[in-house]
Amino acid sequence: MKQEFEQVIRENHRRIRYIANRYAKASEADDVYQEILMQLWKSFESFSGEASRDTWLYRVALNTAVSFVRRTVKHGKIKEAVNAVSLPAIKHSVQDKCQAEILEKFMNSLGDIDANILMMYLDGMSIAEMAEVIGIKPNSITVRVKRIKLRFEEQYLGDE
Amino acid sequence: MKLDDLKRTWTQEVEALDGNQDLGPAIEMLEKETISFDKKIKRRDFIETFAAVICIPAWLYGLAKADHWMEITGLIILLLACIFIPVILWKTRVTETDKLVGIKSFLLNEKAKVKRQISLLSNIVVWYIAPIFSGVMLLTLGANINADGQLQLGTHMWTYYGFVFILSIGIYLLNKQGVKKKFKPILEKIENQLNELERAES
Repeated sequence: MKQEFEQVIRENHRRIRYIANRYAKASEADDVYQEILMQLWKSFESFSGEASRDTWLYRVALNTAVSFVRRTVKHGKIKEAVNAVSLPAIKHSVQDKCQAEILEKFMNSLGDIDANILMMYLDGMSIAEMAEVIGIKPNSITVRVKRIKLRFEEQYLGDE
Repeated sequence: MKLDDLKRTWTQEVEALDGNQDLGPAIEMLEKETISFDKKIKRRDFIETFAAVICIPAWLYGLAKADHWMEITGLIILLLACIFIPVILWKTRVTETDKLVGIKSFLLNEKAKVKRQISLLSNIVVWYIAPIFSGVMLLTLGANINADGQLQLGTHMWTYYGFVFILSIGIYLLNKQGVKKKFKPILEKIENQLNELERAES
């Protein structure tokens, strides 16, 4: 089970970091990241495959990140172990760098729910899966995605 | 540029770690810390309950020995408080909300949890301060009545009552502050998120 979980974390390390950074202040992002890892670990055993792995990961990660009554215990040891894993720098071409900046800027301009929908959309999740994670009707997700697309095009259409 | 053009950018942003990264120690630590954290929570719950329950034999012993109605009433109030306070705390304690549900259900559960906390702290006078304060007052007043039925209070007892009174006010103000500074802003944030979801559904 540990190896399987390790693989999940390997594949989603940056995705979880991204979610933690979005929801927490810079000083708390590490704590939120660790909390997400802990919640994923706790629920990994009960993850039976009824939902897709992406759906499970997003549900646990987003729900943990939006948890408002945070635990007060800091997981110092986990922090050390996790921080020991170095993140290789992403090598961007000039165009990629520009697009990464646009993505970040656009993501930051959205509300939390829309940003979550956008993350899942960019990850290639289906409307049904997104609806499952957010907990609203698929039709509403479709409308939301359309509005996000429209908003993006209004701001960046023609930009290269 | 269209939104779909960013799919590749996103994939790059969240690309997997390479196979050389050893996550083993981090996972080991995660497993150990999860077990240790769960133990800490269980220990905290046990201590909170034990602290109240341990007083019950003392109050029962006092009841058997007490002869003035004030003492008896005070002891009964304290006894009931020691039984009901842990029950109230147990019912409203901050537990983990199920994280395997959709965000909307999660937020609704969190909202209910925060509302319970606000109600608990807002009513602290009723379920905590008043029973403890009146119980202690009646018990000590009853114990200081002499055989002629006259109350005899020395300076130290007045000092003691003053201390208990100030402490009660302090507890009340601290909790009121907690509601205002901590839980009300949290409730507001949750409601904002829920409103955003409702807008998404409309």
